[in-house]
Amino acid sequence: MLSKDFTLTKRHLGWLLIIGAGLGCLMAFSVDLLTIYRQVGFSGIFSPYTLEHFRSPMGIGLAQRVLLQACAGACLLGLTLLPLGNQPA
Amino acid sequence: MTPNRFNPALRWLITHSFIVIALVVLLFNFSVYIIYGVNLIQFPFDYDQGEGFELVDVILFSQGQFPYRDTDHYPFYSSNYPPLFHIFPLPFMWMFGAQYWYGRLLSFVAVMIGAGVIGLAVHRTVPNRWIALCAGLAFLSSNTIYHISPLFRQHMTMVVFEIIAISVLAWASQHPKQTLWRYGLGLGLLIMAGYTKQLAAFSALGALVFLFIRNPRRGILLGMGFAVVGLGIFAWLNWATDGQWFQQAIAANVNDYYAQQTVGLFRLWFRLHRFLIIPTLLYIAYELYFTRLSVYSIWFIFSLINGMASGGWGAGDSYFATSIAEMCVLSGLFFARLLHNQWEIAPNHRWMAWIKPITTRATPSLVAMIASVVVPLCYIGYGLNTLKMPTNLPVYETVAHWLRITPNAPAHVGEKTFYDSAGRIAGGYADIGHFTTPADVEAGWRLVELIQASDKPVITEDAGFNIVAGREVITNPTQLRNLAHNDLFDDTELIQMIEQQEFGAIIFRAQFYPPSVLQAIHEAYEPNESESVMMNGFKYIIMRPRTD
Repeated sequence: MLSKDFTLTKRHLGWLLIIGAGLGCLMAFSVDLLTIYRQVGFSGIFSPYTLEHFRSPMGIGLAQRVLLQACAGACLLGLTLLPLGNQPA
Repeated sequence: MTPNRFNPALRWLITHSFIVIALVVLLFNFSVYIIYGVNLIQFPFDYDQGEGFELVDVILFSQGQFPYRDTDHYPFYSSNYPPLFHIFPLPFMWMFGAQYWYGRLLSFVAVMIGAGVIGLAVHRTVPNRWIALCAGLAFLSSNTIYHISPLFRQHMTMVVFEIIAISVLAWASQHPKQTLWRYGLGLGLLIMAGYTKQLAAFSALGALVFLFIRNPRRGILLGMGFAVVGLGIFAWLNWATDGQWFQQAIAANVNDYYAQQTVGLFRLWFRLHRFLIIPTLLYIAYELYFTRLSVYSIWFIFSLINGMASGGWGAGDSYFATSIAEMCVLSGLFFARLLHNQWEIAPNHRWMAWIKPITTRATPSLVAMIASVVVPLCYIGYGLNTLKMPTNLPVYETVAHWLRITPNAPAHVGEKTFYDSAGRIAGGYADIGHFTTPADVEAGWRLVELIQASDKPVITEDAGFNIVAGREVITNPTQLRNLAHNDLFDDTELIQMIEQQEFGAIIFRAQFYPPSVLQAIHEAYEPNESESVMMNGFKYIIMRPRTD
């Protein structure tokens, strides 16, 4: 990968987009998960409380919705690049 | 009917007629851009609220001082922008003193250079003179670029540095050998963009991602060099200002975020520029799936992150300027490739079996013939979408009458005399784009006389009146607000001076001060309605010491 001639391929780019989209989703929820962790502790994250939080009107805001949509788009884009294999990106 | 059966003379006439109409529309918008610039360059006071503070920074640099200062003490002033933009006007400052015109002129000229580079970037990749001309003119035609180009503000100078930097990187990527110094030059220009305004960080990120995709080894090495130089300058500035650089230019920039404002501005951006945004997206899709991603495409995607940041307090449509520059390059490339049928698809492409029948059916000459009509139509649509003009000047009044345009720009005094297809900027606070009048100049001088008549210092939310009056500029309201928002401002000394009525007057334009300071002002001072002044559509409220 660190050779002078190596270049990223469409497949690499596809995976990077998919991973980036996953990290973006985590980021979108991280503020809420941090709030739940502060309120009810680590075990609370995996409890029905989390689901209730996201269902409430304060759950997913406009900025989070936009970020999640962007992540979904990036993930789909990444998936379409995977079949292009070793074509240089 | 096949294209060969078309009368060549008739085809030439039709396509060139559309091209001429497109150029006429874009040149008409360019003429408005020029007269707006000429009008604004002559205006001796603040047009946009922050301009005066840029001038204060130039004055401080001309005296060998940094504008990053401790705001807890008199005169409670600090800049929150990087230094480069304030260094360019220094020769003018030494020659002509503190004036607005040269700052606006430099910004205005820089934007025209940027438009030229956009045209050149298109022409170098796929030679076509009129597409290159349209791409450059389309940049100047955008409402966003029009609004802020002739302002004494650093944003457009940053965008121009970015345009040149990315064009240099594109040029470097086309040379297989001896590319290191070219990449270095491009990254150096991006550092200059970053030290003009912090927002260039996203463009730098895009450039580094491009370098990494092309060759990770080179990308990491160049990225390390970039970081060493960029952080070295940062560390030196911080050391030279006793840490004020970091506090004033970085820490103070954390602000409230309004997602609704971002959505509104994205909608406006798309509504105004859709005739070029759609071809841009098609071009990126072409590069993504059929050839290699260019630095232009990656830059465009990262420039949209700038757009996402437009919901911050104090941000606005200007945050889309970088993406508009990139849109002009990419749409120009798409149109030029379409006209010349210069698509580069590898013969072993995985989807060739699907592409071949389409390319065989749509013969190159047929595509070129359709494109020669559709491409000018896109520029005509774009030119009409981004239309803005005065409706009370000769020629423009007639054109407005023909097009049945009624003025819509805000006017708080007299009749509305300006049409702007952008309308009221969604969620933004700045009402700009209209022309200044002799009445505005007269109003500004009234405020200067008011300051000169006071035997005590006067606080103004626009720095220009104090500068013209030859008085010291006290406070930078938006900076104090930002600092207070981040618990970085100790207001004790300022509030004490306000309570003791040590200022002869306080001139409000938008009441940008932190809440505690505003409260102290309203307790110790009262508005004198008879002295209030209207200038550029804003009401300047004169607060005088209470006597009760």
